[in-house]
Amino acid sequence: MVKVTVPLLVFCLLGAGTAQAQVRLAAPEDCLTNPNCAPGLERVYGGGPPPDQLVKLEVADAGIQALDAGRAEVAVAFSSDPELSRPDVLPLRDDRRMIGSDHVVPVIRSSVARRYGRRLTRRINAASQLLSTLTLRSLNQQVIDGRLPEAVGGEFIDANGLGGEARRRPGPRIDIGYQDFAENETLAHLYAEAIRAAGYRVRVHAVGGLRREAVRAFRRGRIDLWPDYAGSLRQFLNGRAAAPRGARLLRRAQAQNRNVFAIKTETSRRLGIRTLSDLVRRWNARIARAAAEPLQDDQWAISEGSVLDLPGAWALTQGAGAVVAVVDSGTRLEHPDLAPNIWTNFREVPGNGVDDDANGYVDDVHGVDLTSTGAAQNLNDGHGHGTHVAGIIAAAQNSRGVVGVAPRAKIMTVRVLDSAGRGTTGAVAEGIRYAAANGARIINASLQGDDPDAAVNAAIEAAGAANALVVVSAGNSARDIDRQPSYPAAIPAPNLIGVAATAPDDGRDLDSYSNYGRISVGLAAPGGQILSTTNDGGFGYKSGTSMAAPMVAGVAALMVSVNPSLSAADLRAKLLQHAGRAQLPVAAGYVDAQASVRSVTTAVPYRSTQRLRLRILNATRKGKRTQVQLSVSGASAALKRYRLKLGKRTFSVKARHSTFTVILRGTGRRVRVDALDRSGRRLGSASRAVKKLRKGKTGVKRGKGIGA
Amino acid sequence: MRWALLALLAALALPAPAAAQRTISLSGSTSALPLVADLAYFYGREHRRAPRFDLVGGGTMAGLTDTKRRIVDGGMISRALRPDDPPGLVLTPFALSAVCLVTNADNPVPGVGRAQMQDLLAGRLTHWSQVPGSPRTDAIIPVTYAPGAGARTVFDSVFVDAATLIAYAPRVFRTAVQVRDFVRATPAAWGYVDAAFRRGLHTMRYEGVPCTRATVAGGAYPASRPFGIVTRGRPRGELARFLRWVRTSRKAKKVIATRYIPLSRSGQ
Repeated sequence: MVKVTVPLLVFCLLGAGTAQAQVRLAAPEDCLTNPNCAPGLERVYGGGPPPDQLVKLEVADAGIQALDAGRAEVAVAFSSDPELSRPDVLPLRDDRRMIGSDHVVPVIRSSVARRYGRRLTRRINAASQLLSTLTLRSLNQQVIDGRLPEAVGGEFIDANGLGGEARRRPGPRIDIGYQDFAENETLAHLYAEAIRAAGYRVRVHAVGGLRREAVRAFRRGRIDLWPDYAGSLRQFLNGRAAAPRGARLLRRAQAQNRNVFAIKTETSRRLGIRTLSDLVRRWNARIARAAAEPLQDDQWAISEGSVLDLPGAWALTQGAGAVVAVVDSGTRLEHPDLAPNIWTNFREVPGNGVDDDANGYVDDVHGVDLTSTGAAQNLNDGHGHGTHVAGIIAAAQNSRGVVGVAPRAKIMTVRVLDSAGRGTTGAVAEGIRYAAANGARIINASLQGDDPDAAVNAAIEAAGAANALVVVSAGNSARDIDRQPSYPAAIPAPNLIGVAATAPDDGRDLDSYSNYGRISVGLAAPGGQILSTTNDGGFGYKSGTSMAAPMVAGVAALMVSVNPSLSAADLRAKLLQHAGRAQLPVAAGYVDAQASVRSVTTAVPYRSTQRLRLRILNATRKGKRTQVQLSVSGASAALKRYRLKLGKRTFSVKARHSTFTVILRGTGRRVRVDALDRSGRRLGSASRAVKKLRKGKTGVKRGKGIGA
Repeated sequence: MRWALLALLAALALPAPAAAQRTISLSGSTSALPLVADLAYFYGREHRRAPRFDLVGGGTMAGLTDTKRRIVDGGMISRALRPDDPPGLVLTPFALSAVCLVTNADNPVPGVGRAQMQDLLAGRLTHWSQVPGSPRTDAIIPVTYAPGAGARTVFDSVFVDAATLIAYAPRVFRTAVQVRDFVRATPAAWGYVDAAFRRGLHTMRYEGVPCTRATVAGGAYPASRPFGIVTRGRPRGELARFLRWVRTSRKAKKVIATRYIPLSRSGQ
């Protein structure tokens, strides 16, 4: 191992003067006449884009692509464009309220509303209530991904409890029209499904153009209902009425599709533009480059030429909000490059000898020690392996030493290997369960053993239920593990990914020691000559698949930070899907941080569009308290609250998502949870027997041998 | 007896556990996933007791290896099986996708060959005056998709030679609708779209072969690929019933035909 001295702190500030910068605006052709674009800027902000700064968009909804292509610095987009949810894109604040609201609103023929009465209109209003702008972005993203608007709209209604079958109601068919763009078509089908499920006959068809055609089709009696946008419709009617004669607006959705002026966050910082006032007023900006870490040049794996492609991913996120468990030999917690990113269990009082949070472990403030059965937690790293792994994942960007793949993620220490680097599969299994139960979304296990253990398989399955992705090293025996398995890498699970190691300088070739397997090993990542934190407080190099796995764990942490709603299976799928293709003997290729992180910025996983699924992962009692860990997946637009029944008592808990824990005062033999919508209708339910809390560390001495 | 009765009553009083619900789990091609998701939705509309579906992407290779390792019931794939794929897998294809080369309707270029295509991609052909059959003389405006899009994957694998140094600077869009609208509105543009999005555009021949339903189904047109599900051995149970519906029902064919060419039970 080579030790490296930390050089003096070096700041890199280039071109720190003022520079003329152009601010081009990409906008559709109608910007020059649209009151929410150039004329509005002129009227409200006292200036518009100079003619030579106006870039015409041939495709109205391609504004963000113009930013990506560098054709403009600011672009007009629609607020329901999913690309606006990207972390590198910022809507400029309309600080003088120039842009009018434009809520989705169903317009219905008054005579039809009268004929079918409130039963029909209530149904349509209930569908509108489910629609927020973010929901609309999610629906649009599904269509962009290639799904049919009819299926997307219908599935949304089904998944949020308004679908199903009802007895056919007598009366004429209700004709629903849509304007010629995908969002409007999706909305038309969404309303149609809500109405059809209540027993009304419906037909959906295009009206062949935009608003003018929809209004004409209504006047000619071809349609009875269409989804429109309240602000634009009023503008179309010259402000004289909210709806055409003979029509009436039903309840407006919270969702809007209005003009937004979008800018890249980096451009916003560089040019100092955050509001529309800034856009009109300011044209000069300072150009500066962020400070780099002193040893960053020695970290080949994170350089711009590496296959990992990290700098591109960091433009989107640095991992804030993600917790990564390092199941290893412990961590030097006070290492200056790790200390800022050590996970803390705030429900545990340090050093009081009590299991304050009732999770079975005493004083697990920063993690747990599973190398001994003693109650205390000694997380110190007597071996050095765990500290090195932790630094690869999340060494802080603090101008000290190195930088991790996800420099703002938090490290949870799960010590399973002793100072000789040896442990048991029982401890590993318990460590994985602990990590998942205590909030880790990513679990890194840079471990290798030759013997399978059903307890580890079960723990990985339990981690999957809690939405945790387990990243493991392929092993360092230079063998094909499809033929001669290495564990845990060879365990088949939808939330586990095995990683092989590649060598410097660009990480394109497998390192000589690395295990591989076209079926069992999903990815390859830099693992040779990796510089990271050491357990003596300094920095040093190590090589192995143990170093490759945390590269992937770090990338996964970046992805979770951008899109926390992704399931572990979706995370794994995205990592595989966006790997750089290669001739390496692994299933997918090299992990590509930039492509993987970018892929989740607007991703709408299939599971999130389906009916809500509720699971109780754990229900334990200690004294007079009951702790319930819940996992929620699926559509949640309608979700308002949970009702928990424990014995004879009922508790109400506000809607929360993903995996979370609630503590109830009282005990009972069984707990039942119902997910409810605004009207108290049940969207999903689950129940489970309550068990007495068992003390932890039961698996420490069990199982087979395993090592770093 | 009394205890048995009580146990039975208790079981009836409790909701069915989530695990009892039948689920078909599939992973694999993100090009095939939206189509399978649509088919799953309409299958559920037609079958009251349809199972739940659990779909994730990961790419064709992930679908193949996950199926082989029994992580999922089946793998969604967007290519034919190859000899070096994991053994013991059976493909049930149900759709064909074709990527057509398109220009603006006012620029009816008859076709391009492989060499010309490499010249376009390498930036050696920059003006329409260099392209035989084009009535235009202005600069060529190429269009492509963001990396990862299904049509882009097909285009890269079929039309781009490994030796070609890519030097053209195309406009990048997210969806076929955006590409279609751009090419429709831009007389000097060329691009590529799935066959279902050709309306209003001119379709170029490639190596003399037109992009038509007949040439795609017959295999003469090179830029086509099958969508299907692989299973360990022949499909069984719920998945077999779903696939039978996909390959025989009128509704499934209609859903597939919105974007692709349906393949029936006979393979056509």
